Amino acid sequence: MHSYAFFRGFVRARRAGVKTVARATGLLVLLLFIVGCLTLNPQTKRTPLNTQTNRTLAVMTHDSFAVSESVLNAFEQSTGIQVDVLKSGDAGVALNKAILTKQAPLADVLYGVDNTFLTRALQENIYEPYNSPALASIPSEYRLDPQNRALPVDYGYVCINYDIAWFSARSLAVPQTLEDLVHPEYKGLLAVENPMTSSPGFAFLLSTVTHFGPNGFVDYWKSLKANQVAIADGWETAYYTDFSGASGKGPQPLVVSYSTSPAYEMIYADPPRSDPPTASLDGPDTCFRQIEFVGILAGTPNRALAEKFVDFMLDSSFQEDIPLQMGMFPVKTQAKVPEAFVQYAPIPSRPAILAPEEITAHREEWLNLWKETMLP
Amino acid sequence: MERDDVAVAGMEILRPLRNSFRDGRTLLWILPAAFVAVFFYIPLAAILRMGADAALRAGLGAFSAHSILNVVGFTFFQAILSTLLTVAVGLPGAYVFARYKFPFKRLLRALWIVPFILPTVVVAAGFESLLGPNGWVNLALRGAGLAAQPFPFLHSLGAILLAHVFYNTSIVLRLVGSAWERLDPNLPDAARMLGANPWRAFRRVTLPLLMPSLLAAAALVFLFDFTSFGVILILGGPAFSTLEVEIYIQALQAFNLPAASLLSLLQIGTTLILVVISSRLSERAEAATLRVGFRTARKPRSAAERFSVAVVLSVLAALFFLPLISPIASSLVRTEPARGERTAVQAGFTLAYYQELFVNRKQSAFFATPIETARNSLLVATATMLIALALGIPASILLSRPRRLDRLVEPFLLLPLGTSAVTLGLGMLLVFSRPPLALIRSPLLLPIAHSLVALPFVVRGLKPALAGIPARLRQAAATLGASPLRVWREVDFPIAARAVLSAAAFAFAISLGEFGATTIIVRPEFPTMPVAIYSFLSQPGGLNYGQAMAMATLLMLLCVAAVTVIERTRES
Amino acid sequence: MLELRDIWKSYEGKPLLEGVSLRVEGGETVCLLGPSGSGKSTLLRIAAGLEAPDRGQVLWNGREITRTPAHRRGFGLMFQDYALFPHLNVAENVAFGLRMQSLPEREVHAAVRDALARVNLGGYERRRVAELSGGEQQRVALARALAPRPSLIMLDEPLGALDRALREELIGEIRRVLHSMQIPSVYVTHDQEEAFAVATRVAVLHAGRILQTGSPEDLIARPGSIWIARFLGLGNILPGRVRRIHPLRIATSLGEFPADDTVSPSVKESEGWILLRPGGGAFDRQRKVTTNGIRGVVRECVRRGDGYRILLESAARQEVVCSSPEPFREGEELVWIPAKGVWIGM
Repeated sequence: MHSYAFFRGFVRARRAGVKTVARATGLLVLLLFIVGCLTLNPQTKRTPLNTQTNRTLAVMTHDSFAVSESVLNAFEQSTGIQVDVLKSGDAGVALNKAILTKQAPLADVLYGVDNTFLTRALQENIYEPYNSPALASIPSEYRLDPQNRALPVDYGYVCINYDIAWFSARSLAVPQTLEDLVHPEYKGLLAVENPMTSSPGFAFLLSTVTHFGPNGFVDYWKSLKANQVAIADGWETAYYTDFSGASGKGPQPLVVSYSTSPAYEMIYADPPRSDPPTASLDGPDTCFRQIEFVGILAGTPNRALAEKFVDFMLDSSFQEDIPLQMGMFPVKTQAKVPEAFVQYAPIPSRPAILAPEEITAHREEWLNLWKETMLP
Repeated sequence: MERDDVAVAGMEILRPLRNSFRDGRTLLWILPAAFVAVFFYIPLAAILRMGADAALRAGLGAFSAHSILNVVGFTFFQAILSTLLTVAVGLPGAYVFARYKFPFKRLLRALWIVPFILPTVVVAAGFESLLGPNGWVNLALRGAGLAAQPFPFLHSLGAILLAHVFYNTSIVLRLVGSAWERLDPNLPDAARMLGANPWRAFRRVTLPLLMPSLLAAAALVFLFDFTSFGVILILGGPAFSTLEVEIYIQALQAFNLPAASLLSLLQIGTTLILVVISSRLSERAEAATLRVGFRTARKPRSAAERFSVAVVLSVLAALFFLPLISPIASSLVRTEPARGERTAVQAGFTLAYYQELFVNRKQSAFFATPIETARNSLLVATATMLIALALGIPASILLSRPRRLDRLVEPFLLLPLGTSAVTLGLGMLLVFSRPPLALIRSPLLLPIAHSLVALPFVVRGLKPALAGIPARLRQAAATLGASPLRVWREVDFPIAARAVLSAAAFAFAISLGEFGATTIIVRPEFPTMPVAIYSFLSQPGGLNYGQAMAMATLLMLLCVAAVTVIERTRES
Repeated sequence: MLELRDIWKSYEGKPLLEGVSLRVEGGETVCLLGPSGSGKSTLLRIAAGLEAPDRGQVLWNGREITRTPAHRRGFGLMFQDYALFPHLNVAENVAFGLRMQSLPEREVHAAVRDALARVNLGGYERRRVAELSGGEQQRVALARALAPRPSLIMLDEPLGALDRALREELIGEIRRVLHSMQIPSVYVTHDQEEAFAVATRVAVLHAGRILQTGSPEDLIARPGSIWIARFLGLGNILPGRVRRIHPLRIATSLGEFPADDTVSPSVKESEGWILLRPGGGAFDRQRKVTTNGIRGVVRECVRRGDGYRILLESAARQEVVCSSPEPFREGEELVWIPAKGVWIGM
């Protein structure tokens, strides 16, 4: 009798636990149900333009990819292809993922590899060559891959912008060359981005490598550090927080940015201005040229669709959309560029140009040297 | 004659195997063993091969031995510093909780586990919203006119240390606090009567007696700080790199797979050693018998006591609550016009960020609407839960009443516990991105990876529950005429059901917050919430920032719900 | 000399000590005797300096030390559960107080040896605390408290956890040790036998007050109140009324008995109680005596020490306790004539 009572008592105590079990399960299931309902709102899905499922094209890009909805929709409607844009991190990460999965590619087309990554992409054979007819209208200086595995789409220049009013108010001469930037009168006035995490930051690093050579650029950076250069993690922070010429009204009147930034400032000035607030330095190697490429990923099952998309990217409607969406210049010669760009973002006279093979071979080494010199 | 002897001897050796076959135990092993072998050990072998290759032949490219030393050195350095700080903050807290009664004590005690279970991206978002350039502290400083430019609290060693202290103080509070409660309060009094002032009494009596639990807590905290990934990556920024972060950088950014593999091997080795050390210390702490104190906690009496208790509690409250509340606040308030937006936007309370989650903007960081990442996360978490249970239940049944063979297999099953998630992801990426096992595009790969991370915890949680009901009760039931089935139904099942529910919630929560492996193997078209939050956080801009906070809040709530389930089932 | 003057203490709103005063001179062993929860341990802790009184003062040799922290008072305290340091061995435990005084090693060694010898634990230096029996632990605790030569020693229920035989043995030892040290000592217990065996003076504590102080003999002979008499288990307490004053005779439900009026004054017809001690009486088996006796049936006869304890049930079903040098049969009828009782008025 004694053990039986004990036994039943034991069971009774545990039975109370079962109620809690039921309640807790219910809570969990309810939670799943609610969120499931929330996420299956049909309005959040894009209405498919085409019910045929095999006309979908996956385009892998870096996170800065942008295109006007109207331009893309026009393409989709005229071709019947649904385009899935897969943003995969910054250009380097997107490329590395593509390389790692090249035998079972994640997408059909890869856009965003630039000239600093080009050789790595080509060495890893991730692309299939495509001799697009649109290449005829693209100048040869941008066609860095003779085999047309990587096709150029846009280009731009990473330059040092300066705040015009700031310098004239203090009657200080605007620096003309990279060497000028380490002079004492410019102490603490320059904002750069960390080349390890920022594409324009890395471009500026390459400018210094081009100008001072692989053995000299470290000393240059030491001097910059002694001259209190400000290092931001990314372009957004440098431009909108540190730079005095932009909306953030920061402390630095010199910032590493794009040659098109002054044009943007004019286009979006509110109220409209008659003269630009900023401009780019135009000394030897003060600007670095970037070219971005697109390629069809090797092994794609949708070759035909991919070709159509590549042609579209090299066609006028897309090319002319590039300046205001991505802040770069179209490679196509006949593509119209907004007036503000022509006026306020002139092509630099002596840009720094470095062979892609060089960059790929020494990228990590140069970054490590920079890190050891500048951080913390 | 001899041949018979050999045959008999052979049969003896094979007896355990034969026994297993006979009662079907081997069958139970097949699924978990096969799973772990294919999805953990094969990738591990791939990493081993590549790492050995790198070490012996191919070299490490731009990543020198000197850099390895730097990385390892910094990993130890920040872990040691974080552990010391955590103990310094946790000890006074443990004392206050052990000795005093004060209002809201139960609530506070339940709440201090929350930071511990939060996913790293949520913690990162929390600190970003509190201390970032657009965070509350900087806004306050600017508003008060004390600083023209945002003060760079983040991307510093201080931010890393602070986040680690936030994360791990609850371990010290719990382990040392419960030991302190059980410490006979007469002991320090006896020391005082013998002429020791309060400080000497603490140093010579209390501290040595707390030492086992203190060491166990410190070892555990050190382990977590050593293997910390998200915090260092997001809050430390590019200047700081630990082993795990460096594996990620070398694999995905520098694309130096040999270096990444070598670092992975180093990581596995050191983590294993740390896990063993911390297990031993935990066992010793539990074995240390401390007498039960008769005196229950009392209210602080003197003004000095009241003051110190208030100070300690305020520091703890600030430490725990601020990083939790500020992302919630940030998600509901627009503090400044979105960057890059040219139209002026009013600052103030807004639900816009939550509404944005449902909108598919090509301009925003992801193709999928942010709320769909929540759906993805939940689907992945559900799949993880099912897989982890399907594997964990048979494994736990076998390990709850282990035979000799089972005991040998157990460490192999639990090895994933010592491996970093980043390494796991890397291994899977290496092995499964090419035929014949090209699973990289399969929707199951991510739940599988999560299950590997969750499996050791599931087994640990289920094992004691399934070892369950003592044999004599079972015998008592049998003598009273209850059939084995009845016994199982009335006794085993409720206990087992509770344990299974708790383990399921655990696997679910782990999957929801998993970041390290996910960043590597997630399919770009099906991002999960942690990955989405990280992406939003890395691209500052008013809209992205607000959405990151909104998503972080959502993820926080989901995790808290899952953990409530765990704690509730454990409590009763 | 220790003086506690008008000590008041409450715990979380509930009063515990209400105006307690006590003096302890050198060479005295004062026992604080009272039931559990009467505040004895708290009073001890206040004297030790581990707690502060709400009101009142603690004085040592005339100087106020109420605010002096415990580690500077130079008092020794032996805890109820010994509170030996589990991480130190016996010698280290005993040496603890000496180490706090920063004495040179040689002196410490010698003092430890002496202290252990004094409690008959010579040679136990290296033993671990967990290996000791209850009695040994108690002796180590005593040695530890005495080793640093305190000016006052306090003992909080030191024999509480031990079995009877051990207790008997140790009571004697404690008394011997305390009396040899010539310092004032305060001994707290709820056990009356223990108190009377050890103390030179006993203070009875109840409901936050000291009801009576005196030597053990005083208390036995003249209990100050009925509560004390009951608590001390002095004997049978019967409600009664004064019938005559010279000589004093008290009328109870069991009859009239002569009494002593040394405790309370006798007023005719006043109500109160009479204490009839179990011992010192006479037994009449023939049942011839009628006055000053209680007639009844033996319900129980149990050997106690050298004699027997008898439970006698009267005709009115009331039970009284008496002691007898000889045994009686259960069921036997007899008359008990108690010794002269003590009158305790209201």
